[in-house]
Amino acid sequence: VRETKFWTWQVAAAVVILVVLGLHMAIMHLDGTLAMIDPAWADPLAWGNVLARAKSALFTAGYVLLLAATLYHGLYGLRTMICELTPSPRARRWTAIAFWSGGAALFALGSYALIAMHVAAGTPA
Amino acid sequence: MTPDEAPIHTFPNRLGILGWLGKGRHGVERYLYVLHRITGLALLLFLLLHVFVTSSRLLGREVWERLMALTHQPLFQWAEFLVYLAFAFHALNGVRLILVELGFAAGRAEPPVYPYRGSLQRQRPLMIALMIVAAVLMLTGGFEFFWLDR
Repeated sequence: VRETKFWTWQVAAAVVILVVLGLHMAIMHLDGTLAMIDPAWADPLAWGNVLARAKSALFTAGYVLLLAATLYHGLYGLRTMICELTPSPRARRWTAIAFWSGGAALFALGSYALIAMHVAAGTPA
Repeated sequence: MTPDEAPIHTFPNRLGILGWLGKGRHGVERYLYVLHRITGLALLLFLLLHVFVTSSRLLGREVWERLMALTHQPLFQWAEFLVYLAFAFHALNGVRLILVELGFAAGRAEPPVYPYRGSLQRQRPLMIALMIVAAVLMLTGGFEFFWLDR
């Protein structure tokens, strides 16, 4: 039952990633194509544009959600492969512990950076 | 014993990673499965690096601009394009997997009359359509990376 829940979360994370990462990839990597429609989409990596996105609560929340979904989806996928290759219950347990703690640490780092940038970008210079 | 405590029945994985390469006669979907795993691993590796690189924004504009100048080197541009290709494939093949998981594209029930049509054959038009969409996304990305960004 627990494994079924994990799998359901994996599929749910995939749907979230599809929408949010799809938008992220379009904004970050298809900027030249989007700039043909509106020049404001050009150069998303320029510091001014980075700050403008950081200032937006919607972008910040979207990135935190994306970070959680991608970490879960990616680490669960890798865990599946490891469990397929190593049937030992001990290896499975340690993989789960390592991935939950590593994933939580990366989520903490990434979301701290996002939220701190959001706060700093909203503070008048 | 609760269902959570029940032991998971496992079978020896005799072929290991070699099994990914396919031993025997398989449809194209088998190779999409292998490619889905390879692109997934590549995207996971990229994600881990990406978290650290984007977190460096906290160190200020100068550090960020220095890092971005580094990522504009041709080698990084190629690596970024490969990540984009991996994303396009993984996303569209993932859409196929979710649709199949939810029971779409299986078609109506048919009597088992020769020549039989397996479930993979019924789902193949969906696979072809989604791979065409992936190819269009890849071409758009190539146009962007190698034409517009230069």
